[in-house]
Amino acid sequence: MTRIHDMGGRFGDGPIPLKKIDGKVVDDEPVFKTDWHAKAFAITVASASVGKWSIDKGRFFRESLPPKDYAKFDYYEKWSSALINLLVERGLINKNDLIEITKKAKEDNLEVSQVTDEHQNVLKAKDVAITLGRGGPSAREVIHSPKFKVGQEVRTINYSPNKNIIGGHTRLPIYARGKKGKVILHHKGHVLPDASAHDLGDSPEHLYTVEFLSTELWGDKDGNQKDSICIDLWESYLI
Amino acid sequence: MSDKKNIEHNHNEHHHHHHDHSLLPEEPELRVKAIETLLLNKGIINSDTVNELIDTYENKIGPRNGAKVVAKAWVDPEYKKRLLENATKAIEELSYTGRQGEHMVVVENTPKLHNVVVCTLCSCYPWPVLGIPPTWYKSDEYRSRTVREPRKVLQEFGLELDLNTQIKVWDSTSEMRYLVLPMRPAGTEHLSENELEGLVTRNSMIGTGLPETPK
Repeated sequence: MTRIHDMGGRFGDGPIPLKKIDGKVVDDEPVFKTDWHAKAFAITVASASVGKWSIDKGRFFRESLPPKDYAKFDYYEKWSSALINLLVERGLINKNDLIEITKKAKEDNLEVSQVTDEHQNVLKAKDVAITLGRGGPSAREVIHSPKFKVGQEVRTINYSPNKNIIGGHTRLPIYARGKKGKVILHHKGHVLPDASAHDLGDSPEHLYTVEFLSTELWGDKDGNQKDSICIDLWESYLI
Repeated sequence: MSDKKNIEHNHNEHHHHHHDHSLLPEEPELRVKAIETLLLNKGIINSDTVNELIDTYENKIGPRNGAKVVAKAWVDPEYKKRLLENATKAIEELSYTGRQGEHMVVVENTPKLHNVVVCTLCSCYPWPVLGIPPTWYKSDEYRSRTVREPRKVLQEFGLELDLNTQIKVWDSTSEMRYLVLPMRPAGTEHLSENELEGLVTRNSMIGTGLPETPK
């Protein structure tokens, strides 16, 4: 099975939430719609340098929010809630901290105190540009040669590829499980999210882009003869 | 080693931690304020850094970067070749690098092929060239429907494609980030690179729109 975030192909969602004037799409949304969106974004990015969780672990914590919360939360509510859960898991804050700060928040008494001992890995303003510019490349050397070639027909496995953790993180969407496709790109070795999300190391594998016919994924009636869907998949997802 | 036991333990731990957020105030603005205050007081984040990050994505990193890449590819065939062969390197020539754009692929639209990018599992998006994704890109509606009914989705954006045009949907499941190279609009032969840049819309680089035509 899978989790609530794995929604590709799901029925029931309505029109794309677009701003339109006289039927024409208008793209003038501010980068952050509200101050708290901006703050939720920035504190998440800033905390990652201290918390030292992988990007995959960050994603796993967002998709592991209880389905009821995931469905009703705004995008940045998901970010900030997953951030808190990560910080507790990493021991950087504890439940008492949460209970105390909530009490203060409800009393309208949130005050920033003088910080005397910043964490040694705290991200400094002067390092923001260089840290963002460097990013966190996921390319890694893989010793063995690739199992598949560009042009080769492959099939995805029909269950969650995460062998280590039941209900663990994976990037094989459920709509593309057990499906036949063709390798169109080979990206060499990359960190395996299924391992990295659970502190099990990089475990790099060859990464491919596999092209699936729309009709292979959705059937002859719902699919379109012309169209295709391209998905990045790790070697252990494929047979 | 009792691996199974450890895994079960971890699983329970995770299960437990995935609910800790419910201890915080429910109202999102107050919740974020509470987290921010807590992190500042614990010395985990720094308020200058928070402001710097917001300023960076509000004012420095956004879709105008991508528009420069596209316009350059339109006027410089050698650059276009490099861009299609190794997008990460070619984009680095313009100094756009790093977070959420570490591994770039550029996909080219042609009269027979239209590319559109989505992330069904979360909201992966090439930040160095396009900035922070718009709300619609992160919506359940776009994430769920684009892989199954791209033509209907594109119609909602006002994009009616010829039935003979193939649509390729790119579901960004890895750290590879996709940027669409739209077709250069007709009647723009006389325009400079700078002027062309002004025609490149954000949506045209995601595949949910076309560049503007000159007035």
